[in-house]
Amino acid sequence: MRLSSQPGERIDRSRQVSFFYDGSPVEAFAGDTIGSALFASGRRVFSRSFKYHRPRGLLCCSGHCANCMMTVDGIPNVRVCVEPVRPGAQVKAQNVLGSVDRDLLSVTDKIGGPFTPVGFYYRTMIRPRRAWPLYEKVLRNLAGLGRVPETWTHRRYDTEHRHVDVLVIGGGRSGRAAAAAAEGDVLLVDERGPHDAPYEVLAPATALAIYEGGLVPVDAGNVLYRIRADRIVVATGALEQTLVFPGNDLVGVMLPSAVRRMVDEWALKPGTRAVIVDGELPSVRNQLIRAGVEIAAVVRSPSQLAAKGRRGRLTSVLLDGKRIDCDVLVVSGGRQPAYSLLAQAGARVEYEPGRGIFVPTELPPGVEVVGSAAGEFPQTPAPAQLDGGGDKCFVCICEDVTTKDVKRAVAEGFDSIELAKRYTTVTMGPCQGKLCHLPSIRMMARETGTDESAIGTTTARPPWRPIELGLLAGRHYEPLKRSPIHHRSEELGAKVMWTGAWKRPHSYGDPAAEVRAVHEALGVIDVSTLGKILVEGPEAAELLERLYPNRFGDLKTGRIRYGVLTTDGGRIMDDGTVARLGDELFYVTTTSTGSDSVREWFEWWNAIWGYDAEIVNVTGALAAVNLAGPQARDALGLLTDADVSNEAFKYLDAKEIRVAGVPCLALRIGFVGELGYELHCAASVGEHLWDALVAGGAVPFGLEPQRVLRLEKAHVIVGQDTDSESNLISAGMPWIVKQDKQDFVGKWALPHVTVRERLVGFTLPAGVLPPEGAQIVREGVSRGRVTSARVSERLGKVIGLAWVEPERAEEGETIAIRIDGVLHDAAVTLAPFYDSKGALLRS
Amino acid sequence: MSRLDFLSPHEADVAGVSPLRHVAGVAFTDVSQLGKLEVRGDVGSLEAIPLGPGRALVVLEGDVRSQRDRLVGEGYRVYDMTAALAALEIEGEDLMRRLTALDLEALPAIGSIARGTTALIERRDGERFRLFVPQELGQFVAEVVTDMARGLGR
Repeated sequence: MRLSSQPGERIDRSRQVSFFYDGSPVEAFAGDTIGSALFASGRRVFSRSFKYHRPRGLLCCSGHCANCMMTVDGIPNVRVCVEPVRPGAQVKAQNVLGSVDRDLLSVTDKIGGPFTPVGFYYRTMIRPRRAWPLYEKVLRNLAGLGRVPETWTHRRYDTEHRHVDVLVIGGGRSGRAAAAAAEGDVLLVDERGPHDAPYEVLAPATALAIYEGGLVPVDAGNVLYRIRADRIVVATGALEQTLVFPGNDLVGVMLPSAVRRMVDEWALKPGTRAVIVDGELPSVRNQLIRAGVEIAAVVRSPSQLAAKGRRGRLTSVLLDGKRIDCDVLVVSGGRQPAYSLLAQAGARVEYEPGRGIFVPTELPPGVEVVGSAAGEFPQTPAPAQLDGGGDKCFVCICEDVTTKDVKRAVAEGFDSIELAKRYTTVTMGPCQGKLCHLPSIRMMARETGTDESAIGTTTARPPWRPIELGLLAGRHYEPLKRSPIHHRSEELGAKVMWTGAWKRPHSYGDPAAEVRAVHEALGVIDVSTLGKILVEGPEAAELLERLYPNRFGDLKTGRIRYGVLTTDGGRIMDDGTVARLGDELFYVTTTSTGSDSVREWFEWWNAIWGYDAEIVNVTGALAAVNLAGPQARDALGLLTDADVSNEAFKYLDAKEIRVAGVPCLALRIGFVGELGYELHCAASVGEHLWDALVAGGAVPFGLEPQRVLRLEKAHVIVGQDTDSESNLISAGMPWIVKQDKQDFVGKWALPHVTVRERLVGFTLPAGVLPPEGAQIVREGVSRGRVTSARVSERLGKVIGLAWVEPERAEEGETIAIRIDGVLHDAAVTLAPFYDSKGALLRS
Repeated sequence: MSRLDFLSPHEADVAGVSPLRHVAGVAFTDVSQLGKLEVRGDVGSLEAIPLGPGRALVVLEGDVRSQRDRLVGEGYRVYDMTAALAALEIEGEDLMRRLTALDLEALPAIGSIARGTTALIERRDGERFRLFVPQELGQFVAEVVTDMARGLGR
């Protein structure tokens, strides 16, 4: 039922909207909220309380309290008093067993009291321990409010960044005046609807916090704005607080703000007969009269007050010993400046006893406060509690925390507000203390015999208003790096796997066949993910000489050397090849995952040493492929005019040649153990080079066959076969360390490293494949671990690498590897399993 | 002395392909084919986008080789990054505000877009912006831009 047209009402009576409540249609007007439309349809009970399942109705109509939380279109905990109506919306009550009018769980209100005192969950339902699974099942069903649906259609959330000169938070009178007077690029954020203004208005939207650097996140429904402002004006106003008295949660007990919005904005009649306990806001009385509500009594500050009801709905009040029948009780425990954002920004908050409020002081630079948020209103302090006997007396309506709970908490020793908060959960409900901030502090002051300034406030934390996690998460984007040849691999049906941020071909369908192709004919693998760094300058050689344990000063132009980087502590950090392309120019490759860290490592050290050398990361600039197999030379020769004979292009030579019309840096190296060339070319022509090689007969192979092939050569993968404790001595690469060099990173540490274990190869009979990480056991104790293991079809056995006790690191030693609980003897080998002298690589 | 020709797609007999070729360019214009030279040295007097102390990016539409030779002749160290960077042109501040936290009044600048992808962003005329991103992330960024444009109803 609606009143006649009200001045300034927000509903548009010419536009009807209908939605559904628990499956039944509800008629509304455009401009209604779901809450106002439900009230107009006759609904008074909107929810059941958190703990006692007491009926609750509209209390604040400002989107602060939990009384009107419902599930709307599957989204739980929506405050329907501020949720605009939308056609076809499915609205449902939540947290009830039965219906919101008849909730079987309300039995806890009747008889559950003795079993559910404050903090009961810390001490009951703990024994017997074996009953916990049952308790847990029951409690899980009872705890919480709305339920997240199990099937979910993803809603779209976006994030937007803004930079403005002035940000005004709050669209009340003071906020609008501040925005109008401000100069420059001004943005006003308003929780209510938009208004016409000479400045930009973002509404309806809520500022959630003020972070360092003037960053203000703003919830605008489906968009999270991240606003940075040079000047922030906080005009968040004041929040009406609840008054503490018996039955203060009954349906029909309302804050003045609720009456104001009901009558003025939605043309609703709040009830038939009202009692007003709030002498400082005469407008409420006028509004009620305008709405045709009979005013039974107006009292400014009663000494005794209790609300009485039937089935949770207000029927009368006991006012200073006198019973008055009514169905509306308008009460307020005073107003409190909404200072949370200011406190988050670093402002101090001080108690002002004259008005009984906490006011913000000592604002940080760039942050201002205007209007009621600054405490600019007259007020007399409300009492901590009014008594009239009878019903429960709630300090915190959201969490069902009663005065009795607070008293008990203090009696148990939780006498600071922060401890009492955690023990009783007062101010920790959905309103986050908006309505119970002052009442809880007043109660604590009364019970501890101190004053409010001694109690202080709890920490104001973001977000100012509950928000959907989806809004914080934003769009689901997962950065994916693709090699320049990625799409060719996909077209060839490669099975793709994540490796770091890259997606790379695991294989092209038959890893064993791909291994055979490399051994017997010709294979090609996309290795564009390798890190690639140019080091150029008159002192480039000196820089590398000092970064690596091995020597690079004597590396001849056109030659390549394997290099391992170590940390200051001598631990293995990364590995790769270094090719000298000129007197002052080197080309360094790193592992795929190491390109950024190695580039940073180079730059960091060079910043200290100050060599005249440029360090240029060209990882992304270049595609790279490895052409490998006995036919590699012939295949390459067909695609280039360059002399690729073994005499002209030796093992570990680097040459700039044209292949299939593409300028390439060709490196003759052999990670996979067969004659091979790594060809590096500009990324955008990588596909062309790949196509030419495949057309020339090269069989594409993926990471899995590459792993088998490199393991046959016992080539180490840094990070797979080594960890942060591995050093060159224990990893069996002492030949790399040139301790006679004047200096290099890790030089001081390497002579002192303790060899607690050694990295060795092992073989097992085919059919016994240990998982990576399998333990090496002696006398029932773990003595080492397997880092890599594969079946080598060519060798007819299982091969692998493992860390073992140093005394076991001898050719032919036997180690026991535990696989599925059974010990298997494996033979230690120190040389590569395949082509141990490297003859094929040099052929 | 190596001219580092293998870095330059322009030195190849075939035309390079764009890393954005698999994304329909509805929300952006693919300008990845622009020449991009990273120049090191005293770059203060160069008409270029600054990348950091002693580093700048020269973006050019014409003959990359002659520009490179000219700059090398002037004593700079020059690296052809044409293939390293994907380049997108985007219209509209609203779309840019969804992409980056950078102040659009303080460009060019290097910042983060789309979950930490580093981008060099330059303001062209009016509300037209140019983004340079690592080519290996180019398709990902193009897909993100397309999705964000969809979020704006474009």
